Amino acid sequence: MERTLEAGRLASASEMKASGRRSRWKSQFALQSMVWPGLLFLLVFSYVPMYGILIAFKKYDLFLGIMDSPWAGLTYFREFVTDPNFQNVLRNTLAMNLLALLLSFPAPILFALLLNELTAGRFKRFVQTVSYVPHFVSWVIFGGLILTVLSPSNGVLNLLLVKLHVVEEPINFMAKPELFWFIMVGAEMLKGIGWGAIIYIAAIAGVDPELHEAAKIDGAGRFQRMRYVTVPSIMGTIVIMLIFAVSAILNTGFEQIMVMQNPLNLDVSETIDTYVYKVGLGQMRYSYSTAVGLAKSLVALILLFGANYVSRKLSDNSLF
Amino acid sequence: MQRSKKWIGATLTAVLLGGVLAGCSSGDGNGNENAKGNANGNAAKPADATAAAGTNATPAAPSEKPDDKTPIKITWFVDQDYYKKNWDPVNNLLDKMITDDTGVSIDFSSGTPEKLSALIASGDIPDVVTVDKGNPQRGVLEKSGIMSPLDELIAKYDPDFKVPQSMQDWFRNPDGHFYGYASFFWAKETFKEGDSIRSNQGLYARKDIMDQLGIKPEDFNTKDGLVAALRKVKESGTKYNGFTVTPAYFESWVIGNFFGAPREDASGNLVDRERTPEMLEAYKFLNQLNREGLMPEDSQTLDQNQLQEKVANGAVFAITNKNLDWSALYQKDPKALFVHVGPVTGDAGNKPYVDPVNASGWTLSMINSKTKYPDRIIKLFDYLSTDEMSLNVNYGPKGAAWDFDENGKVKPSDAFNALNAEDANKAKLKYGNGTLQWLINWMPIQRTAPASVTPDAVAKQESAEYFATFTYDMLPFESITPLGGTDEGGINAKIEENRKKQRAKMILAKSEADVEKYFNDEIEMEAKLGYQKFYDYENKQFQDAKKSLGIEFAWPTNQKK
Amino acid sequence: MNIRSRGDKWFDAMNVCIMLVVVALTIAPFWFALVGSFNQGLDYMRGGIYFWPRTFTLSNYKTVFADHTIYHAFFVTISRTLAGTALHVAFTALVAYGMSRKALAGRNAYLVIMLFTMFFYGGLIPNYLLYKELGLLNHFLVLIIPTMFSVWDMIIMMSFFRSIPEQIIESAKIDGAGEYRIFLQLILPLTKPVLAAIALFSGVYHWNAYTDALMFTTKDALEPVQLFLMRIVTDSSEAMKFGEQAASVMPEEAKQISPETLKLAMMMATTAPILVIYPFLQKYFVKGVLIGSVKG
Repeated sequence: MERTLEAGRLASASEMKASGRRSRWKSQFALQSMVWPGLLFLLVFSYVPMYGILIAFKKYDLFLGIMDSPWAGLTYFREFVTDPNFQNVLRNTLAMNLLALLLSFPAPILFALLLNELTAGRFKRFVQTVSYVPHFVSWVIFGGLILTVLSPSNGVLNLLLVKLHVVEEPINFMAKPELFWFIMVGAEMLKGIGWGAIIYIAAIAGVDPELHEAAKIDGAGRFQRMRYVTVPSIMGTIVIMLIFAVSAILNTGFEQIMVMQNPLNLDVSETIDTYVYKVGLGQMRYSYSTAVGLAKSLVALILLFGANYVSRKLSDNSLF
Repeated sequence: MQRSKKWIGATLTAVLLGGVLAGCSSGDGNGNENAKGNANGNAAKPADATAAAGTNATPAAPSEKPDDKTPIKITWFVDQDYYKKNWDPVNNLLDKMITDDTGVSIDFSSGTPEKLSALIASGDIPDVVTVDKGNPQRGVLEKSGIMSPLDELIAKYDPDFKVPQSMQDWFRNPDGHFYGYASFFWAKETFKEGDSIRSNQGLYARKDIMDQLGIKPEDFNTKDGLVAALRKVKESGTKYNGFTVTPAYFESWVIGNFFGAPREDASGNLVDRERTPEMLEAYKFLNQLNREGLMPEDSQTLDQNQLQEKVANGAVFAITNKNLDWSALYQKDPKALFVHVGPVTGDAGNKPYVDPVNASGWTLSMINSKTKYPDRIIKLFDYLSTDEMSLNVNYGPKGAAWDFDENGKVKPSDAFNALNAEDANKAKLKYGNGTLQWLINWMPIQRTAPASVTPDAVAKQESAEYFATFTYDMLPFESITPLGGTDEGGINAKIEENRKKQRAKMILAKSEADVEKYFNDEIEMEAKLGYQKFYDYENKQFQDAKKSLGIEFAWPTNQKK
Repeated sequence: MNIRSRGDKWFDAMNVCIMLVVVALTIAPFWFALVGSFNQGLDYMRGGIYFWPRTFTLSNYKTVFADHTIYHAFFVTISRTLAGTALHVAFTALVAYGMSRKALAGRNAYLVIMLFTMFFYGGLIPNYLLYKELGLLNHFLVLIIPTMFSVWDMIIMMSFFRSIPEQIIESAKIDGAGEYRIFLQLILPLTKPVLAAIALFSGVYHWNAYTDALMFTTKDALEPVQLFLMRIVTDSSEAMKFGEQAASVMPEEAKQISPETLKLAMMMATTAPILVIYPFLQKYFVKGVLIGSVKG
C-alpha cells in the first residue's frame, strides 16, 4: 500500500517533470523561432557584406576591387594616430561629448518628467508636439538660424545685450573658441530635446498608474512621487540610453559642426568625424575612412561592454 | 541602421552645403550673362555675330545630323546625384528635337561616384557614362577596357567628328587614346576674336559711395591709395540703409594674385603660391587693414550667405569675390552699383593676375565598349557637341525657345520668357533648357549672350571683360591637384585645413611680426603633414601637363623671356 | 494639505513657464523657416526676415509642386512609410519579445551577435552586390526589406518588454497560453507606448530616407519625394558652376525663388504631413497603461 502510494507519487512527479520539460521545450521552441528570423536577417544583411571592412587593411584600388587590392596592413590606422592633428581632434571630440553627456543627455529626461507633470491635457499635447518640431529642420537651416541670432552685426542676442548694457561692443560669438563647445551643445540640446524625450515619454506612459495611487495614499507629494515612482520606473530606459551614449563618445554631429565651423574656431571645432570626412571620404580615400571608422567602432564596442559592466555592478539595470 | 543614418546625414549635409555654395556661385551668373551686350562694341559687330551663329569648326550643321534614325533607346549614367532627366520626346521640345534628329531616346540615371563604383563592381555599366574628371572612377573606366577609346570610334564610324585637339591631348591616356568628351572645356584653338576666358576674381567697389567721397577707380591701384580710400569710408562713418558701411571684405588669395604671386620659377618648377613673398605681403596687407579697422574680424567667421546678406543690404564698400550677388541691392536702389576698380599692385610692382575659370572642363562622357550602338552614340556625341546644340541645350530648341536677333545675339522667345517667368520649372520641362549639358561648350553661349541694358548688368559685363584681361593660361596648372583616392589627396586636404586656420590667424594677428611668425609656423607644420610628397606629386603633374601641351614655361613672366 | 497644494500651484506655474520657454525656443526656428518659404528669393537674401514674410510669394511652393511627378513621388514615400513601418515594428517587436524572455536559451550570445552589427558596416559596394544577388535592385522591396529590423529599436523594445512583471506572463502560461499568444494578446497591448514611439522613429526614417532609392534604384517609379526635391534644389545651381556661371536668360521675375527659399519650401512641404500624423500617435503616449487591471 505504502509502496504503491509512494510509487504513484513518484510516477506522477516524473510525469509532471516530463510534461514540464515538454512545455518548457515547447516554449523554448516558440521563443527561438521568434529570435532566429532576426539573426538570419542580420546574417544576410549585415554579416555577409561585412567583408567590405577589409579595405581598411588594403590599399583599396577601385579597379582591382575589394578582394584583389594589395594589403596595406595598419598603414591607415597609423596615418590617423600619428597625424599631428590627432590629439587636437580627439580632445575636441571627447570634450564635446562629455559636455553633451552632462547637459544634453539629461535634458530630454527632465523635459519628459516636467511634461508629465503638466495638468492641462491640451497644453501638454501642444508642448509635446511643438517641442519635437526642430528635429525636422535640417542642420543647415537650423545652424544658419543660430548663426544669425548670434551674429555680431545684426544678431538678436547682441542687440539685446547691448541695449541692456551687459556689454559695450557686440560679441562675435562664433569667433570665440572658448564658447564654441557650449554653443554646440546648447544648439544640439535645443534641437533634440523634444525628439529625445519621446522615448522617455513612452516609458512614463508605461508606468502603472496604480503605483502612483498607492504612493498618493501613502501621502507622497508630487516631487516624491516623481522621485520614487516615475524615475525608478523609467530607470531601465535611462540606463540603456546612457550605455549607448557612452559608447558613442567618439561620434559627433557631423552636419551640425560643418555648419558652425569657421577658421577661427577650427582649433576647437574639428572632431574625428569632420576631420576624417575632409581628409578621407571627401577625398574618396575609402581605405583611410574605413580604417578610422573601424577603429572608432572597436572603441565603441569596448565602451559598450565596459559601460554595461559598470551599470550591472552599480545597479540592477544593464543591457545583458 | 545607426550607421546608415549617420551616413545619410553626412551625405545630406554635403549635398545641402554643396547646394548653398553652388547657390551662391550661380546666383550672380544671372546678371552676369545678361550683361553681355551692347556695351561691348567689339562683340556686337555683325561679322562676329554671323560667325558665332555658325556651328563648329566643321562646315555646316546638317552634316552632323546622323542619317540612321531608327529609333533606339540607350542608357546613360551621370555621376551627379542631383541630376535627373526623364526622356520625354512628346512634351519636351529639346528631347523631341534630339530624338527626331538622331532617333535616339535616352534613359538617364544618376548617383554619387560611389554608386558608379558599385555599378562597375557589379558589371551593370550603361551605354554612356558621364563622370567628373577629378573622380577616381574615371581612371578605372579608362584603364579597364570598360569604355571604348573615342578616337577609335570616331575613326571607325564618324570621321567628320572634330574633337578639339587640345581636349584630345589634355585627356589622352598613356595608352595613346582619349576616352571622354569634356563638358565646359575651353579649347583655345577654337577661340575667335573677342573670345576670352573670364574670372570670378576681381576688385569691386560701390560707385555711389565712391562718388560721394570723391574716390577714383585709380585710387585702388596702389596699396597706399587703396588704404586711403578705405580710410575715407571708415572715417566718414558712411551709413547706408541704417547700416554702417564696412570698408572691405577681401580674400587673401585674390590679393596675393594681384601682388603677382607666381606659380612657376625660372627653371620651370611649380611654385606654391601660398608660400611666396607676395603672399606674405598680401597677408601683411590684410593684417594692416584689420588692425586699422578697415576689414573686420568677422571677415574670417561669416559664411558666404551672411556675407552676401551684408552686401545685399548695402553694408559693404569693397569686395574681391564676384560671386557675392549684389542684385538684391541694385533691385532696391539702382544707384548702388558695384563697379570694377584697381586692381591693387604689390611692392615689387609685379603685374597683377586673376585666376580664370577652369579651362579643362567639368565632366567626361564615355561610351561603353560593350554597347550595341557604338556608331549611333558617337554620332549622337558629334551632334550634341556642336555649337548650335550647345545653345539649344542651354536655352531650349532654337525657333521655339530663342532665335538670333539682328546682331547675332540670342533673343529668348516671348513664349519662353512668359513661361519661365511664371514658373521656371515648367519652362524646363517644356523646353529642356539647361537639362543636358554633358557635352556642352560654353564659348558659343558666351559669344551670343543676349544683350542687356540695365546699368547693373552693363557694369557686371564691363568688369567681367576688364578682369578677363588680367587672366593667364591656367590650363597647365589644372591637373596638379591630386586625384581623389590618392594619399596625396589626403595630404592636400590636411594642408588645406591647416591653411584655413593659419590664414585667419595671420589676418587677425596683433602685429606684423606675428604674421611672419604664423607664416613660418605653417610651413613647419606642413612639413609634418607630408608637404614634400604632395609638392613632388603636384610638380610632376605640372611638368607632365606642360609636356602634353608642348610648352616649356607656363607662367606669363617666364614665357616672355 | 493646504501648504502642499500651494506648493503644487507654484510648481505648476513654474512648470508652465518653463514649458512656454521651451515652446518659444523650439518653435522659433520652424517659424522662421516657414516665413522664409513664403518670401521672395532675392529679397530673402537681404536677411532680417523673422516674423512675417517681407515680400510675399507662393513661387517657392509653385516650383516645388510644378512637376506633377511629385505626386507620384509622394505616393512612393507614403507606401514605403506605411509598409516599411508596419513591417519594421512587427518584425522587430517579435524578435524583441523573444530576446526579452529570460527563458530564452543563448540569449546573451544572441545579443552580442546583434550588437556587433550596430558597429560594423560593410560599405556600399558589398551591399549593392548583395542586393543584386537577392534581386532587390530596382524593386520596391529594397526600400523596406533592408530596414526591416534594427538592433537599436529591438533593444529599446526589449527593455520595455522586460519591465512587465514576470508573474503576468507566468500566470498566462498557467492558463495555457503559448508564447505567441502571450506576445500578441498580452504584451503588445501593454506596451503600446513603445510601439508607438518605435513606429514614429521608423516612420520618420522612412519618410525622410532617400539614399537607398538613390543608390539601389534607377526607376522613376520608385523615386521618393525627398529625392525628388533634393534634385530640384541642387539642380540648376550645381550644373552652372563650370560655365562662366550663368542662368543666362533668366528674367528678373525668375528671381522670385532662390535656392535658399526653395529649400525652405521643400522642407515645409515634406515636414507638414508628419506633423499632422503626430497627434494621432500621441494618444498612446499620454494615457497610462493599466497593468494592474490585466493582473487581476
